[in-house]
Amino acid sequence: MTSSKEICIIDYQGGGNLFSLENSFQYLGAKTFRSSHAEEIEKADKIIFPGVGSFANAMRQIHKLGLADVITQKSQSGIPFLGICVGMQVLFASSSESSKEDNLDIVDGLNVFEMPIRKFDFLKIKQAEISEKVKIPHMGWNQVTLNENSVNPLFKDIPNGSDFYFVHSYRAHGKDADISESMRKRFPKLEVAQTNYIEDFVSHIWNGENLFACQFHPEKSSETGLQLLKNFVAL
Amino acid sequence: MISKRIIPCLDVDKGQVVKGVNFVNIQKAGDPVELARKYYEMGADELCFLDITASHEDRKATYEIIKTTAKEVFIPLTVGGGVSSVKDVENLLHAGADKVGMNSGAVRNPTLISEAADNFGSQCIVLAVDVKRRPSSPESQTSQRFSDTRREGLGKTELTGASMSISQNLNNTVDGSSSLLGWDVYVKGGRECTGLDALEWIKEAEQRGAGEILLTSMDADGSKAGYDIELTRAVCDAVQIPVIASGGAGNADHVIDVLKAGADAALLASILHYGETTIEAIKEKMHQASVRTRV
Repeated sequence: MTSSKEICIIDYQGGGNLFSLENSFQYLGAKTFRSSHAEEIEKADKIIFPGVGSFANAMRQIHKLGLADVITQKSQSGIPFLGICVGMQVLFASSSESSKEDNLDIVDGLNVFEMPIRKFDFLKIKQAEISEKVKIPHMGWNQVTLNENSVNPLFKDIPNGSDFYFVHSYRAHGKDADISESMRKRFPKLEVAQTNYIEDFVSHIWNGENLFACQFHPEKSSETGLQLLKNFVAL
Repeated sequence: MISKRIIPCLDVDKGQVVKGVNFVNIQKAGDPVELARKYYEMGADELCFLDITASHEDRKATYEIIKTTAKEVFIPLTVGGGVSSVKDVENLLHAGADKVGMNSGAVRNPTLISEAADNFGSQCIVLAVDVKRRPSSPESQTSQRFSDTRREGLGKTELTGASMSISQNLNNTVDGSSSLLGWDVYVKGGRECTGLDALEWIKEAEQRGAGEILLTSMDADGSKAGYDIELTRAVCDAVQIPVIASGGAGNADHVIDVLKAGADAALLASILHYGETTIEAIKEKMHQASVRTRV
């Protein structure tokens, strides 16, 4: 490995399985440590931010542990930062995924990316246009397509359109053209990658520098996913 | 678009892979971690471990298998068998499982599904259901009798006869020449009929937060005469969550048939374990049949 920096895995104590990620990095020969403490995360120089379960639960835990500020700040500090699944989603503006405890219509996120997360909604699509019943969650392997000529370092040596493993019911809807003016202003080099599940949604977002987030699970995406994590280690 | 998944299933007893033919006549077929790695390298999209170990103490062997497998196999792992409490779910997730299958435990205590989904998220809760056609015509009653006798331990020759009878029965029903009354849910490895209607139970499980259904046709299981297409279709119509079809795969065409019928994934055991075909060969055929698969 070209980098010896220890990777901090943010653990917001949401009951998620962090072993898969730790196993992947161990396999790649990279050192990781878990942290739920703002002071430790503050000092980290490489961060993985995984998440599973509901958006509302993740946000509640993040606030309870006092991690909202440090995550918002570190994600834009210039150090390599990778959000995964719900760890990607909470970097967005809001989500319609509440929980029993919260019982809200819309839950606020960290708003690093000013786009909403909403549930897949196929009701508006005519059945005739779909050859087969669409399942929710979107679970399984699907293709991730980057902009042509993208130089996203996380996808180095990964053919464009490769399959990654997904499991989620909520997503950031849209494509590159849907990025707002204010988001462009904040991240002039912002790029999104798309996946098609009846509609195009944002399966990966890159601020053009060192902030990355994936809706899919690289740690469960076989050799392709390992290559992506290897690229992260090398940043 | 999303790919259809091929999922090898390893039945594990006290640390060894076994595969029952129609839930009896179990034979040894190798070391679980080694098999898991082999299937991973061959292009499996996910892996499923079914722990059929009877006693609770011996289950520790399974945790060790999951732990070791998760260190070298980077695709989703589903583990089921004997899951009867939220603690069981937690233990399996901590060992490295990505999804946990529950079967008899959920029938006994349906709140287990909701509690586990609330605690760990629906994405990791798989409801495994073993179902069997309700007898509805003279032909299917013959099949029923065969199945009953089979469970008491018939030999290989009789099994072939039973498989043929099942296959005929399936064909009859698909042709519409016999009326279908539905499917019953069985528990305890297929030994006990619960009287629950399969479609009603599966719908309830979805309501309670199950994220996926692992659907095993006991009529087809071990027959190698193909998956129960009608059953798979009925279940896919009844719920919105993904369905893994299990039981009856004899060749790649069977896999293609069930995926085209609406299943999101196909579970495979014996035909892979005994080298009758390979994941690569099945995926090649899927590709030819325009069923999208990950290469």
